Amino acid sequence: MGHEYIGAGLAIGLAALGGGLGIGRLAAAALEGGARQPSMAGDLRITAIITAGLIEGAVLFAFVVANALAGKA
Amino acid sequence: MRTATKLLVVCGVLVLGQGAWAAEEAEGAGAVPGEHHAEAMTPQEFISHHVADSYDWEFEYPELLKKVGLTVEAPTIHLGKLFSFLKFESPVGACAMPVEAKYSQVPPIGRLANGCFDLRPSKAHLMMAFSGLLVLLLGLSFGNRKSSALVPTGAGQNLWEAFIQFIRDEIALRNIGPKGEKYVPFLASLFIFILGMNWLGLVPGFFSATGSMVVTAGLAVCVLVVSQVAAVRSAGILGYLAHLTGGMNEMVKTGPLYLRAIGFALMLLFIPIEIVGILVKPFVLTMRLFANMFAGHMVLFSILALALISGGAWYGFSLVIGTVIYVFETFVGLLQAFIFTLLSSIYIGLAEEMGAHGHGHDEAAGHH
Repeated sequence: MGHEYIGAGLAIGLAALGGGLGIGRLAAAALEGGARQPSMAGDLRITAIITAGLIEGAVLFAFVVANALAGKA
Repeated sequence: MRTATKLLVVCGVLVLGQGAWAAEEAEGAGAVPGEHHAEAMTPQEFISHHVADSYDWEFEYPELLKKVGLTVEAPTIHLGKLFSFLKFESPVGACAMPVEAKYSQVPPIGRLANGCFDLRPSKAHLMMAFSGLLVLLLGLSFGNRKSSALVPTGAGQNLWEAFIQFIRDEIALRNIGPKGEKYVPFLASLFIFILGMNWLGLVPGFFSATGSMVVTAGLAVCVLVVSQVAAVRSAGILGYLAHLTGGMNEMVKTGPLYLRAIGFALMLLFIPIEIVGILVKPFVLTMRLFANMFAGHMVLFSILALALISGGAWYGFSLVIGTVIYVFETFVGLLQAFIFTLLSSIYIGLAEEMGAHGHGHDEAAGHH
């Protein structure tokens, strides 16, 4: 009874944790790179946004799984 | 200007057609029993109703207007009824029959087994058609500029050519290499098609076709076919099969017997891995686009549902946050269309490389 909801909450929570850490590291690295080499900042920003989209994709997988677990998908 | 007029005409025709259907609907209102979205919707129903594909194309936001006292009849286009001639069933009523227990995981196959061949377009199909029309319109309007006219004129033509050049230089040539030129039409169409579907879903009353997994899976299958055909053409059918063995075919051919045995054992190990490696790429493409659009709309409607739950001051809150998320979704729609195209080009590039560098395995960079 209700185990699905615990699982769904854990799934999306842990995925958000991982995604947040990943995007944080990505932003840190991009900012650092931009500060060291300002001429590259534009390129770095584009790459960072694309990579953030890829990381976000992984979190959204978990969102879909969590939705299926909670039985609302 | 020319295309702007064309687009306006198309929009006008669509709106007029829509009005006509709505009027017909109003006339036969007595005959059509109300759909399941009657009066009181729970937030869960409200959300899942808006992110799920269906045969009824409804303009449903009057639901919110009802809450503030305005009663507007939601106009609905019943696609299922409209295209009922596309539903083929061998015993009459086969489509309404319950699906056998053994097909419960895949209801469409169960319905097929019952004798129901259902080709009716759903909302997602319609949105795909709109987006396809957009690709067609843009291509016909700007795609065949006379080569004698050296300088493009007009904002539309210039934008189009800048876009095509972006696709060619930043996506095709960068990821596929010199052979990338011939994939530019495919990648450009893919980009506009997906972008059109993503953004159509943000128009009130419309539906995001990419928020339906079958649509993204279909797109991914297209990419799979293109990349595998490219692989076979670049490496040859034998080279392609040799690549499937992970390069172990060389090890089996020569050397001492025990090495050959090891090679054979490894080959048995590698073949399933290689096949999974081929199939996981379209799966990832499918899931990424689907999950992004589905989850995005889900979040948007969750925020809107706050007003349904709490009312009062939450209307303002959900409106403001909803607008912010809406703008973010616009950006995500563009980004995801770009990422889908980019990953497709990377996969095609890996396939094209197969012939160039033998059976090497430096494709780890492609597995995002």
